[in-house]
Parts: sequence; structure tokens; C-alpha cells
Amino acid sequence: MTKILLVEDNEMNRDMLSRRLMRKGYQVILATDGQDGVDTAVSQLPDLVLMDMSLPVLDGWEATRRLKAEPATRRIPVIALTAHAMSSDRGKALEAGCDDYDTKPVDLPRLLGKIEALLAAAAASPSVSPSAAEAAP
Amino acid sequence: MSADPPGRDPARHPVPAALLHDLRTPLAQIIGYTELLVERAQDVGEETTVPDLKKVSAAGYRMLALLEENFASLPAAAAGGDPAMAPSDLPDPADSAVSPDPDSVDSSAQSDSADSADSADSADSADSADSARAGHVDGDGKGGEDGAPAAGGKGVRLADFIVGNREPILAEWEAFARTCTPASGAMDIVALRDHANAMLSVIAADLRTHQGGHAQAEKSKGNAPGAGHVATAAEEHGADRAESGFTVEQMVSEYRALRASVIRLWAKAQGEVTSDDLDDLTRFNEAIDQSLAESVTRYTQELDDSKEMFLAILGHDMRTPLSAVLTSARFMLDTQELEEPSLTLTSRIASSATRMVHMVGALLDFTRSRLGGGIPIERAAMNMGKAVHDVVDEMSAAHPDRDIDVDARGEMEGEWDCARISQALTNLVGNALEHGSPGTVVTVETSGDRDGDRDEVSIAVHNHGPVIPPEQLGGIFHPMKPRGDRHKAATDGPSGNLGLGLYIAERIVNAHNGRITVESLEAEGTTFTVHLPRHG
Repeated sequence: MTKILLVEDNEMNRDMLSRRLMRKGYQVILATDGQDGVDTAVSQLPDLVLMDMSLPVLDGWEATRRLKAEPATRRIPVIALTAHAMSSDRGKALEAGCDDYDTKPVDLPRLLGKIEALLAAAAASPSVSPSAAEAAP
Repeated sequence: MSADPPGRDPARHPVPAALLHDLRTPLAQIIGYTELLVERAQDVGEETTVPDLKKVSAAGYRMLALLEENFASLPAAAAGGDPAMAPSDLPDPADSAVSPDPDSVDSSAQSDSADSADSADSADSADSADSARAGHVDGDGKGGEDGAPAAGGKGVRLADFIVGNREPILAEWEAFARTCTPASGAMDIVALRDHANAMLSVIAADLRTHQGGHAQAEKSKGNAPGAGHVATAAEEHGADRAESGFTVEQMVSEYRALRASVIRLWAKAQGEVTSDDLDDLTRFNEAIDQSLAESVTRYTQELDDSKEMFLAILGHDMRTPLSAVLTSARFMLDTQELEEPSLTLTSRIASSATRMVHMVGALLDFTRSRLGGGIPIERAAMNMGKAVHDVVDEMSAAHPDRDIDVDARGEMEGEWDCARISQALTNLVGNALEHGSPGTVVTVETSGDRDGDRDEVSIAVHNHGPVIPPEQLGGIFHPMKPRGDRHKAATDGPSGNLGLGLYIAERIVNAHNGRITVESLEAEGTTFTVHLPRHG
């Protein structure tokens, strides 16, 4: 089962999105701040990370930079999620190393399309994290 | 819905951008939970509830569209500047590819050439200076003398040079203004030149007017007399630039360009520098500074007005769809037929909608106080001690993990607006809970005093925790300047984290002819104290 790490500090957002993803057949693991997100990614090696950008302790940009600097996690696709609808946010997220970007409220079909596209690209890549090579749900 | 959001950048609007973020968060929850309920209902075959749920979802999307549409109606400029266009990124007027064509520069203007030009530029006329300052002169972008070569040689006074060389000065300045993209992209040549020509007239007339030491000192501070209540060319320019989407840095750069154009062209035409030249230069710089000060003031005012109108419209427009969401959610809960997980999901929709109701209420109070002359109150006999207890009971129920101590002494009866006072207290107690350290007690002490002329009730709301930095204390009641960490504030807060809670509390106290003070010390914590005259 594809494992998605959702890094989100807002409890309601975390609850809502994780429920929706689980209904679609994903395994969802959770982190509540940027540092927690980095630690969880390193220890659990998810297939994909959904990263809120406005996070306490360590913001999403810095957390992504650290994930992309770490050999064990650098190939894990990261999708930035933010409630800001700023065009500059997209560039900032991609600059930090995010592989894609989406805004809240989440349009689930759109987000699922991005998730699947990144998972497919990661599966096609020669050196991906072990679980990412498994079939999508 | 399947496309990415449009690219207009709210970063250009610091206040509405934060607001947009804060309002989108509960909206995202309403929409997400509703869609979850729809999916679940379809899975288990409860199709009868789906149409109603889709109405809730549609109301959520309608509010989202309102947010985006209202935002799009704002002028594009922002007082805080566009992070994408830092001042250091701006084209340097001195480096812009607008180097003057030496052949186009008329280095021969003489004082007498201007006399036949237009009346606004007539020498030594203080009236014409005022008239020009009022933006009534020469606004057609040409000037009477444009295109007519002025006569003379070196040693031309700056005023005469400006009058005789408007066209190359304006051409160079316009070329620079066009580099201020994207704002200037859609502007035509008339718009780009708009008030610059009038400003040149103002400056030229000003240079020819005798100026004493006091006037010079005032002008150097941007306080030139004579503007009165009629918009000056520079003020109109500031308003236009705000409307056209220029950032304040771009507008300042325009002035730098105007200054650079004039000085460069003039220096090229001059031979040796005389003391008159230095005097002209000083006064020219002062005149530019004065115009810039006027433009910036008006630019800022224009933005403030548009932001407030934006908020007023937004608050008003959001009420109906929000009410639909909340009513539907409450109706579903009231049936008491919901089972898990629908019960939890619906409760969360109701909770997010309630938070939005507080936000929209705060927005409307804010705009009412800014646009409509204050928050209205209706006094009636009430007991302040009871009002404080009711608020604390409510806040304790909402924060079961926190302790709030209440103490009341003295005479509590008086005439105030009970609903508004409760709102102010809710904001203050909410602020104390939000910023007080976890595990510490928030205290609310109420005392009624009748001592000679002093007949008031005071309420002190105290919390332990990080002190408010002294530099923030002065502006603590300023709207939309929430203290500290927005991540924390995003979770709750009586005014929904719009940074309006303290502002609204202060406005309510003010409407009661009262006052509110704040003290924040490392050893003692933070105390907000409200003093309310008993009968206004």
C-alpha cells in the first residue's frame, strides 16, 4: 500500500485530508510540524510527502530542503500544500525542492492526479525508496 | 476546479493576503468535510442526504469564489511592496536604457522663453505655483512650449531649462516608467506622462518663487504650504499609481528617474557651475522630495481605503452562504440521527462555520468602525460582574484545559451595551488564553469604584507568558497586527485570528467613553485593563 506522509499542524486539516486519502486506499502517516515531518520521513521512508508550508518549529520550505539534502529521503516526492493562493508561493516551494504544489481547499481529484503522476515518475526512476516501487492502490 | 488557482499574487496585498489565508482555512475544512460526507453517503447508499450536502459544498465554493473575486477587485498596489520586486531589483533610473539623445536636449532655454509659454510657468508668480500645485495646470502632457526650441546658451537657470526641455525630460522619464512592469504594461503614453508634466510645472514655478529659510526647511521635510484641500498633481499621481498597480518602490523610483533625468540633461547643457546653480539644485531636490512626500501619503491613503472597502464588501457578501452552511450543519446535528463518523464530520463543519461567523463578524465590526464612524452601542442597565462571569464560563467551556480565575469587588451596576462589552471581554480573555503560557492561570479582576469624581468599573485581564516587546506595545491595538506566532493563533481565537480582536475591544471600550491600557513585564506577565465610566 502506498504510504503518504502528511505534515500538517492544523488538527482539522490533518484529520480531514487523512480521512479522504485513506478512503482512496492510501496508508497515511502524520506529522504535526516541520521537524516532526523530517524525523518521520527519515524513520518511515514514505512514498510521498504532502507538506504544509506554514508549519511551526521548522517551516515547510526548510523541512523540504532538509529532506532533499538527506540521501535517504531526497528522492521522495514532496507536494507543497498551502492555504495561500499566491503565485509566488509556487516558485518558492519549487525552489525549496518541492516536486509539485497545490492549494487548499484541496481539490481531491486534482491532488490525486498530482500524487499519482509523481509516484509513477518515482517508480520509473532507477533508485527509489523501496515501498514506492509497489503498486499504487 | 481541476485547474490550478489563478496566478494573481496576494503577496502584493499584505493585509488581504493574510486575511485570505485565514478565511480559506476554515473554508477548506467545510468543503473537505462536506465532500467526505457526500462520498460516504454515496458509498452506503444514503443518497437522500446527498443533494443537501452538495448545497453545503456549493455554498463553500461560493464563499471561496467571493474571496477570490473580492480580492481581484482590489487595486494591485500594496503599501508593503511586492516581495517579488524588492527595491534592489528595481531598474536603476541612472542605468536605464533611456540615455538622452544629446541632439534632443535643448540646452539653450532662457528665462524669457518661458514667459511666452504658458501662464502656469510664468516666472515669479506665487499664484501660479499654487495653481500648479493644485494640479490644474498644464495637465495635457504637452505644455505650451513643447516642441518650440528655446533660445539661449549655457548658464540657463534650472526652471527655464525644465520649461524649455519638457519633451526630452518626459521622454526619458516615460521610458523609465515603462520598465516598471507589469503595472505599466497596460498603460498608454498619456497615462504614463499624466501628472509628471504638471509636476514639472509645479517645480519650475516653485524654483522661480522666492523662498525664505523657514519655507525651505518645511519643504525639505515634505511640509510645503499651499496645497490646501485640493489634490495636488503629486497627490493625484500617488492615487493613480496606487490604482494602476505600481508598488510604492516603483513610484519612488519614478521620482528618482525624474530627478536623474532633469539633473543629467541640465548638467549636460551647463558649463561651469555657479552658486545660482547650486541653489537651483537644492531647491529642485526639495521640490522633488515634497512631491514625493505628497504622492506617498496619497498612495498609502488610497490603499487603506481600498483595503477597508474590500473587507466591508467581503464581510457582507460572505454572510448569506455562511449562514446556509451553518444552518444546514446545525439542522443535521439537531436531527440526532447522525451516526459516526457522520456525526463527527458534521460537528466539524459546524465548528469551522462558527469560526468563520466570528471572523466575518469581526470584519464587519472593523469596517463599520473605520468606514462608518465607530462601533454603535446601545446602553442599558446591566451588571458587569455577571457579564464577566458569563464570558468566563463560556471561555472555560471552550478551553477545558485552561484555568480562568475570576474576582469581582465593589459596585457592579451600570449602563453599558451588554453584548458589546461581552464581545470585548471575550476578545481580551481569548487573547490572554492564546498568549498565556500553557498551564498558567488567566485571571479576570473586576472592581467597581465610586470615589469622588471617579465612578467607573475596571476589568483587568492578566496572563503569564512571554512579554509583549516594548516596540510592539504602542501598536498593540492596531488592526491586523496579531501578536506573536500565527501558527498558534490559527487554531482558534475569538475573532478568528484576523488580528482584529484587540482592535475591536479597544473600539468598543472607546465607544463607551472608556479607555484600555496594557502593561507587560517579565516578572508580572501581561495585563490589559479596561476602565469604563458607569454611565458614559
